[in-house]
Amino acid sequence: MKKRWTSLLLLAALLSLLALPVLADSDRELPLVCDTCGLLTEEQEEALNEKAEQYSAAYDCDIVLIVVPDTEGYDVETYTEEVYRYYSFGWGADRSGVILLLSMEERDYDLAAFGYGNTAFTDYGKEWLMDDVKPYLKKNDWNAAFSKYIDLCAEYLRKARDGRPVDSYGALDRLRGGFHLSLRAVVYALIAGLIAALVVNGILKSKMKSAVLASRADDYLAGDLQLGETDDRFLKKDVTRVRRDRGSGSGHGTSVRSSGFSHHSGKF
Amino acid sequence: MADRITNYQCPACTGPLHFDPVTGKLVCDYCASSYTVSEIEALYAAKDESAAQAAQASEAQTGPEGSPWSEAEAAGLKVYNCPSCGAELIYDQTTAATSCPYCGNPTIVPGELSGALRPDWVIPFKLTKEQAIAALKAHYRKKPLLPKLFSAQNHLEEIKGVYAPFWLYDGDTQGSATFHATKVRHWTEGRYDVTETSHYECYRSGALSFQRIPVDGSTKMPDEHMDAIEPYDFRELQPFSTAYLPGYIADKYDVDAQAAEDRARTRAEGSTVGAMQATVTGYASVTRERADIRYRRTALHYALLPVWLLSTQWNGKNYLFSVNGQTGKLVGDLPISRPKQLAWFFGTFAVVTALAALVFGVMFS
Repeated sequence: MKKRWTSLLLLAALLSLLALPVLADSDRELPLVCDTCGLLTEEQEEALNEKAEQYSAAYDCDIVLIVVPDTEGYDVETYTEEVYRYYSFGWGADRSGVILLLSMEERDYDLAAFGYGNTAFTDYGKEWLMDDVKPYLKKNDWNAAFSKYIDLCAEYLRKARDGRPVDSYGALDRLRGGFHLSLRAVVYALIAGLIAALVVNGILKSKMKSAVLASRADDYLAGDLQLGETDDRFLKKDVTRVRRDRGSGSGHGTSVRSSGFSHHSGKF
Repeated sequence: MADRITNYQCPACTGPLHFDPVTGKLVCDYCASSYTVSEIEALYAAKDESAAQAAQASEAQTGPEGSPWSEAEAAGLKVYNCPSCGAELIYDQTTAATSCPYCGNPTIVPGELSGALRPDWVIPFKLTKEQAIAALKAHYRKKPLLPKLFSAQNHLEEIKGVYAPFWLYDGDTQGSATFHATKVRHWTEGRYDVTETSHYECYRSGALSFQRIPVDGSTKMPDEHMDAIEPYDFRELQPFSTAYLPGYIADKYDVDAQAAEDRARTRAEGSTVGAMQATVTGYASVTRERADIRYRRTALHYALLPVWLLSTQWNGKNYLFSVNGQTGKLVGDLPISRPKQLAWFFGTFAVVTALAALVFGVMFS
């Protein structure tokens, strides 16, 4: 493992020449986005780094992305923790951050959080985040995947800062979390009230009118339908996919290990 | 002018007879003797015939110009003298049986129901006037928008037992229809709900037969009411006899069979398409796209069917209710209380909006 870290360090030294002004205020020994497998072009990596730096500074939490060829025989979660510590990632005294590490040989990933990152990236939130990123990873659309990852991290951090980190909230949790009547809720409620009032009014009015012209003569049939030709022809097929609403998960919060990290890992 | 009229008299005391829907017999108003329809028919067969002939002869002799009632006739009215109290009465040209408004004597104008105008069948009244009124009271119940004072204050202006003229059409339909149908499958893929909708075009052809589709032949009877009080149980159709009529008003048709047939055709076509649609099974939804149905009449009958008409006034507006004189089914539009309607509207709106705000508030917070 030491060998790989050393190679990463050499890469870091090289990259640091390019990103010197940005890294000057940090004790990180690697840029936030570090692709050792050449998945990104230089320009793409630079742009992603810039975005990660910007969001990290805005929310006081490092958004890290590391791509390695393999995990040198270690499991992906241990390897991620070591990389995070060894290269001094993390913002502030509590080393807050979130890191996505991709191991290309086994196509393993690990999304880990530390410090304040454990508050912003709950177990449920990490799972949701990777659900959005994995489709791009599966298509080897690396730049889109990493860009999506950084954007989602920023969104999760913003929500956490607003006091509502992305998590699996049951109805009771939501009530305990405080009742806030948003404009959207008011508009929806008014529409629901109007529809219900119109429906009830329509039903009650229909009870007052019982005389209507008949359109059928079913009471006067003299036998069953003599069915002739029948032909059922297939025309076309439509498929719609709707993402399930949040809140269906069982537990919520973040499971933090004794190491101070929380993880969500799998294959892509 | 049909100035010869018949009122069935009790063979025992010569009092007027009327048809009793409970016993199905003709009952004397005075001595309470009762007679079966066939007994009275036999007794009056000859009298009916001669009365009809006399009515026709009278019309041929006098003619509209020579008649002292020519103006009334021009307006579609006829005149007769009540055989019981002698009152001179003017009645509608399409009325064949009625009661004297002065003495209540039930009378029949036989010329209006003989020859080509004679109905094939009649369904006798089974429902009494009291039962018809009770049906109306029951109709008022469980109507949250009904003005409170309507049922409390209104008084029935008029209650009439009417034998309404109906054309009964036997017919066949044949044709084809095309429907659009869908099958829907749901499953989940990870965090996604997937819905697959398969679309089909379903073609059906076939034939169907109908027996006795009723269409009322009187412009006096509202079509919506006559359709809505159906169905009649045609197993109880009786060969026509004027002996069923005393005590009720009987109209003759003023819409001929040709003119009324469009409604029978429309209904037969609707049922045929419906029957074809019922064979499109195994789908989540089926909607009609186009249909080509041909209707052919195979037989036509003329029948008198029993209807109780109840009319009332409220706030200067007439409200008419029709009751099937055989089954008791009642139809008729009721007035709507605006304050009650507004209270229900805003009450529902307020309650549902509050509950929805709670739910959406929790959901989106």
